[in-house]
Amino acid sequence: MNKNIANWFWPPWFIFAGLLAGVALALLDAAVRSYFYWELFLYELRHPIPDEFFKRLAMVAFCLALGFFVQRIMNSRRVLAEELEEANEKLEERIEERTRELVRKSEDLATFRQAMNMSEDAIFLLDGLQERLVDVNDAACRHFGYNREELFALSPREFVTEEGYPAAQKVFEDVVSGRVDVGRIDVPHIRKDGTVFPMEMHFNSMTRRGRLLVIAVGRDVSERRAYQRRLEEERELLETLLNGLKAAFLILDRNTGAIEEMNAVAEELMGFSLEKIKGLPCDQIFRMLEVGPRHISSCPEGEKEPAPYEEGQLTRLDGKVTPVSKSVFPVRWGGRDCWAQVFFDISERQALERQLSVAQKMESIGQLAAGIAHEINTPTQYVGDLVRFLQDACTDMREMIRKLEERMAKGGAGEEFVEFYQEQAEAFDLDFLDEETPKALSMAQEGVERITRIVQAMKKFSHPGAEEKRAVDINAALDNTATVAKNEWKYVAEMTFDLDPDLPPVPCLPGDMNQVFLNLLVNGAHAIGEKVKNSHEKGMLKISSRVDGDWAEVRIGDSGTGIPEENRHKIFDPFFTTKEVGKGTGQGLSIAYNIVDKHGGTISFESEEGVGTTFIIRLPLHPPDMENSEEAS
Amino acid sequence: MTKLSILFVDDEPNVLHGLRLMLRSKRKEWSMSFVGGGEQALAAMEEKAYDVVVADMRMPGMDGVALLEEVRDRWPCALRIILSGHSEYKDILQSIRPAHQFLTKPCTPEDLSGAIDRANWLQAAGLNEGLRRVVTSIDSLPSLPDVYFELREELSLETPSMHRVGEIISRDLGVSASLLKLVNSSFFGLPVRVSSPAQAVNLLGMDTVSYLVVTLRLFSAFDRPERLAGLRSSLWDHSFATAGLARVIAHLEHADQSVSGDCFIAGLVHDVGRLIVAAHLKKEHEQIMERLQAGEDLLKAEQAVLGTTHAEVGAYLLALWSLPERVVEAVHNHHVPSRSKDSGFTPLTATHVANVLEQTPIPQEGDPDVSNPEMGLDMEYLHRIHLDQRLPVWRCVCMEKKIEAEEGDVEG
Repeated sequence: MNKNIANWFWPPWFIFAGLLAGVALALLDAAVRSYFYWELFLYELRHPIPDEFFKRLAMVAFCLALGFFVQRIMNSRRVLAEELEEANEKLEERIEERTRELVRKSEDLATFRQAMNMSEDAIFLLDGLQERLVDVNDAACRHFGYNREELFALSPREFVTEEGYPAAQKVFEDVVSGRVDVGRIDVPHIRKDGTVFPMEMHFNSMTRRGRLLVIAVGRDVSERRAYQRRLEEERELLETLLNGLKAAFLILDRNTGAIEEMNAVAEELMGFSLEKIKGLPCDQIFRMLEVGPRHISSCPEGEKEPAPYEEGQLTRLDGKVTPVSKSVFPVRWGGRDCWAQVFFDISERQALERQLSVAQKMESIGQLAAGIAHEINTPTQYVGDLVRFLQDACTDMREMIRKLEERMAKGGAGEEFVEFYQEQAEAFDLDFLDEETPKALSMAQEGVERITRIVQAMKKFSHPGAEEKRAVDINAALDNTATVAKNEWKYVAEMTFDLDPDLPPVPCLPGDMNQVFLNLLVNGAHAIGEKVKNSHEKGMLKISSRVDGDWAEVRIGDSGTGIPEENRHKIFDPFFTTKEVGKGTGQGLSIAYNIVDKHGGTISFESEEGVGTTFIIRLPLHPPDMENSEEAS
Repeated sequence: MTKLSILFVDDEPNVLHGLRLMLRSKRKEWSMSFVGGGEQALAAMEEKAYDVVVADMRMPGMDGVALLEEVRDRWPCALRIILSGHSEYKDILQSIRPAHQFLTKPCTPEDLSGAIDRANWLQAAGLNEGLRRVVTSIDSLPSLPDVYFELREELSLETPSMHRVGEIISRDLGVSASLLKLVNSSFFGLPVRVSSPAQAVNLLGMDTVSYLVVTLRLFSAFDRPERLAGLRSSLWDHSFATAGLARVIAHLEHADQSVSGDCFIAGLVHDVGRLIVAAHLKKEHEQIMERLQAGEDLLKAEQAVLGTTHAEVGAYLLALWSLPERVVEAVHNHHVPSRSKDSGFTPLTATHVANVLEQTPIPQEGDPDVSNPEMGLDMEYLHRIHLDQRLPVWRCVCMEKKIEAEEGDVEG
């Protein structure tokens, strides 16, 4: 109430205005009177007249009262307007609030609709009792090829093939009756155009405003089916490929080493079926197969990275030995880190390699054959000549003896006989025969020895059938190879040896190692021949051997042309050759490299153009694969 | 008779020593020297001219081929022989040009003496010094350009036909002679006597023939085709036809394979002397041609210009090249067989008769009987070897062959 009264008079503009107007009126009155009656005024000022004073006072009071009145009226209007505005605002606020709520609700509904329509799955809302559609989403229309109106006109049973309907019917009823919470059918459905497609349908029931509704969510599984089929095909293809390639693979768990998976080829190779050994640790299985001198280590050991490639043998329990190569690489399998191991049966390849190496050896022997023939033909020539001479000498001597005997029979003696003897001795050139016959004999013998030596060297060189490593006297092998190849170098070079007599036997394949030495020697001789050709000079070939810690080192040096800088990186490449066509196949150094590599050794070279090249072969004195057999022997 | 002087060159002292001892029995006929290398051999040659040089092929420093080439250029009269232990085809083929003969180690004393004794024959052949120089320095014979190019073309094919190559070579006496020089050497150690150039091609193999022709250029085309004027038919065609007839005659006489082969070869190369003159003796060749045009007889013209005939010159080269003695003999005496000591059918007989019959015109129908059927034939010789009765048969068959060939030409 106070507030209202205050409101009525506040702000008091009109009151002030009334007061002012009253005072002004009074002053005006006084002013008018004094203008006309100045003396009167002054008089009156000194002698106030009460009437006049009251009159003026009343004027002021009247104006003030009028001010109050107007003030009150004005203020009450303002207060009313304010109240009205306030009420109005409140009303507007409520209206807004209400509107927002409505909008929100309708948005929710739209979102829901949209969500429903956005679903890739077909959604049907069915009346549980009447088997009638209540609502569908766009996906349903899309999947079945109808528009909404058409769908609503159909009975649900028209969506399913005749064969599929009983099953669908049963599940639907189960859901409606509450026997199951969620029903699922996977039957072929029919599109508007009559095509049939696989759809997996889930049924769920719910009650809304007293109505039993069934929500059916259908998913077109044709893509998934196709994807599955593709996966299966890929798997089949992989399987066929691996089987066709005769690749045996198995997958091992990286942590436990358990065998997870293997294919038929692997089963055949190992002689176990997957069923029997699935889940068993790898080493437990392979320990049975890793027998024999060149077995392969088939299981990765703990954390150690397995060698990515290995060759060796697997021996099946029934005793069948298969030479195999093994590759290991990491894979993911069933969400775990695993090792994939792929084995190849390399028996055919090994057989081919063996044939090839024999062929290569035959080829190098063939190359040598001409030279060796020369080395044999030369002594044969002079041994034949000498024997012919000895034959003649023998004939002559017997003839002379016969003549002397004749003479003796005639009873010749004394000086006359001596004279006859001297005569004959001169005629038959006895002094010459006497001097030359023993020389000829020893020379012939030497010739035969020369032939023997080269034939034996040849035999030692070729080493038929040596397929296992054995301890080889490298110095003897070097000497022997130099003998065999003598005809290749003797016209262009002098040979010097610097062989370490304390070099222990080196475990290696003697035939292969001879081939390495031969290839390097012949190359050296050719390099020298290239340099000294037409100059009638000879170069130097130097062969040395020594022990260097656990290694045997062989150096074969020549004073030939040297290897040009640009060729140095490719001299060990197969088929690389600088020789003219027909003189080299470019295989020599490549073969040498492979052989030394196979022995766990190294081959390198030092070369200076125009000065010569030295090849350095280092072979391990104790190669790991020989340890066992050394112990055994 | 003067002693033959022989120089043996080998880097293997043992071989020299062996030869020295083995050939001691020859010391009365031969004077032998032994040196250890090419350079020493040249030094020895400078001091004294040797009749025969026997060299090893591969020696340090100057090798046998280089040595023999040098000898060929500086002392062309010496008989050049390679005695090598090499069995590498290509190595030996290198020496085919400078060497007259090839012997392989080990070599029997008989083979060696036989080869060296050829020098005696050559000395007795009676060629003058100048002619000998020319003939001994010949290392290959030219061939007809078209034959040569046909051969090159065939060999450049991916798979040349051996039959075709043999056939092409058979048509050319130069190539045939060069090839026969090679195949009859002991190097090839061929088990059979080579009886025709085609067989030689078979035995050598295409690779070798190709190597000889393409790489070594053993055969070359006649570089002066203008000199061939008039020679083509009288030399190449005539030689090939004569060879065929000689073989026919050999068959008629039931000669064995080797004899009939030699007959063919002798027929093919019997006029090789004319090729030598045409190719290597330009001036003499022109003089002879002039005389021929003047109507002079070939043999007389040659005798006048060369002092000998193409028969001797050809035989000389073939002897140098170590062709079979029977062939050399046949070529040497094909105009005057009575010079020989034959007492029965030999390649000489066949060559002589074939040579004459090939030039005899085919009697035409209605012709009067051939007035002088013995024209050009050495009846004395035929009578001596008791084959004069066979002449009509030979003539008859040969004429048939000629008619066949002519018909073939017409058809072709």
